Amino acid sequence: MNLTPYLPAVAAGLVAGLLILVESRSVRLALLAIQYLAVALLSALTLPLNVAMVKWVAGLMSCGILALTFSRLAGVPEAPIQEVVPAGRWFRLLAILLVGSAGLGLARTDWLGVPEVQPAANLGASLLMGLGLLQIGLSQARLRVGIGLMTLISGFEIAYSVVEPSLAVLALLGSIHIGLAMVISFLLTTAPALGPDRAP
Amino acid sequence: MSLPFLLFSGTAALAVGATVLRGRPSSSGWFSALGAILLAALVLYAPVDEPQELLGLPLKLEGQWQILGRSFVLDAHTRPMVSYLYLVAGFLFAGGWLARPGRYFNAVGLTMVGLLAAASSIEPFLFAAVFLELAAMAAVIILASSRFAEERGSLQLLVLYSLAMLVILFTGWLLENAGVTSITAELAGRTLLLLGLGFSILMLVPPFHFWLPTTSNGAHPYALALVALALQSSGLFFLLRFMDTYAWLRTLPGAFQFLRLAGEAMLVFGGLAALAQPRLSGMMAYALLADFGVSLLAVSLGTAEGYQLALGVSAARVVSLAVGALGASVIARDTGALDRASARGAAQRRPLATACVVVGALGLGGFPLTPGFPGRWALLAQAASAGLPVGAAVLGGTVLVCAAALNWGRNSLGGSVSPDRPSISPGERAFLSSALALSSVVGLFPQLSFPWVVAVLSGLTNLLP
Repeated sequence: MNLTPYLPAVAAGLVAGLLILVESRSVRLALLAIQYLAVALLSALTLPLNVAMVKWVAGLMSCGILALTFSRLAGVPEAPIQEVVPAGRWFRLLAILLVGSAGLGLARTDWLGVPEVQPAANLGASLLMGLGLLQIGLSQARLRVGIGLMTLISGFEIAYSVVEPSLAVLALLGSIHIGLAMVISFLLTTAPALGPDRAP
Repeated sequence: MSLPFLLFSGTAALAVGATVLRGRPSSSGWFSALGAILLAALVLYAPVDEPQELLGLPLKLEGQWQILGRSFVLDAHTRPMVSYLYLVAGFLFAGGWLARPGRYFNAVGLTMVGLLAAASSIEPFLFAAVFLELAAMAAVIILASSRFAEERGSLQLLVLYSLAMLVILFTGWLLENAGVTSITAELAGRTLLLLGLGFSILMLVPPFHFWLPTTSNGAHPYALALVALALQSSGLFFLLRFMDTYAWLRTLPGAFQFLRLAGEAMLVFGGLAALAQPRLSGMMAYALLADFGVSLLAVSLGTAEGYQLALGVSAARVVSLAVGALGASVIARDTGALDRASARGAAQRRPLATACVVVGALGLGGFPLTPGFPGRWALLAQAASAGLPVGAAVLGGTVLVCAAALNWGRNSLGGSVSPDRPSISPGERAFLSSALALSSVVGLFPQLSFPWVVAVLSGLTNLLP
């Protein structure tokens, strides 16, 4: 059994979990870039590699937009936000393990109803979608919600590239990531004092 | 040259112009309004696929623009819908100079309308979900950049629209590739469930409505009016195109039953919640939700008259909400808030603005002689065959929302008379009076506007044979 395709799937899951745990903005940005690389490699299971790498380029552009925003916000103090869900580190770790286990279980079935999706891609998609939803559900902070959405959509894209491999869809979904980065940057810069996202 | 390319280029140029003029609200508002109305006229009346001559040069405007293997098509199906969206936006931009919802209201609003036009014209039309998501992003910027910046509800809107996009894209694949009409009942059931989820989000069916009241607590009322009207109109068009394209969907009684239940729930829940709101903005948000329920009930009739009625109600909503939000914006300019305490005495300080709020809210509730009334009356007549619950929901929702509006009006009459009444310019007075007059004319003479509005659906030949 060839385990190589599973490497980016496992990496994607680990990085998505770390994105929920880590507080530092700059580390989260680096993790996001790695996650986009894993997504591109998983998409390359069905798309030509050079086409799949477009996803990484779009992801890097999103990371670049966020990096520029972080550099502008370097000295801005931020007030904490009252989260609805208790989000201590141990709680988050437990939630990640639970959702990760559910993702692993789901990946063993054809839960998407698309038999053409390879097992490794199914694993990566399940983990990213589950952990992306978890990230969105755990926090109301702009950056966390934004990264959660990017993770969720990335997971969906892995499966969707099997059923709809056209360039137009690739470009449209890439523009969603860039758009999300722009919106989150806008929200971070217009009301920085409202956000709970910690400085580096 | 293609008409879609011309439309999108024109929209981009207008957005750039509005950005340049952002420091001058009046110029920016009128520039954007006139530009949007001109583009609406261009989309509706430009001769497509016919050779023309311009300044002695041969010119042929094509209705299709291909890009990366996908097309934007402006044909008999889509042109009236796109034109309607630009007209709605133009109508709201015209009042922006008085409401002052924010520096980027016009520029980003135009971008949002351009994206919604792309959603209405893309083929295959399932990819509209992606453009609706991009439009939701623009909506977030409009809401967050308004004078009363709001972001919690905006983020909720973004999350919900992202989920809707994923669900609809996936359902689209099931419909296109798995041939849901000819496959197992299990897969058909899954498709229906996913479709229901996606459209529930787009049509604000509870519990997916929560971004609207949350946003209303913080956002500028006029900015929220544009966002809610544009996104909901696009969602309605998307739903109707879906029903027009997939005949099997129209043959499923369960689909219409779901729409009917959702519409009834929205009317009753929206009415009750509107009555219980301590803030004017919250009351307007729930009144809007109840009004969206009326549109869904009209669609649930499953008849050509029902579909036309749904659109007629939507158009009446544009007038009522714009008038109400305009008045609320003027009041909020003085008080900085729209809660019950700060709104007390508003009728003495700002009588015209308060009248706009009350008339707008009554219009959303369907009070007689307001724009919302003819649609409800026609729905009651149509719904006679649909049974008692529909009629009861329409009547109950109408009474509850109108009671909430009148209660707020009574509250605004209270309080001590302030000696220093804020001044109002002749232009502002004339504009607010015109808004009230327009609302009355549309309410009294619906036959003037209804035939024009329902023509928007003329391209959906399967729904309106």
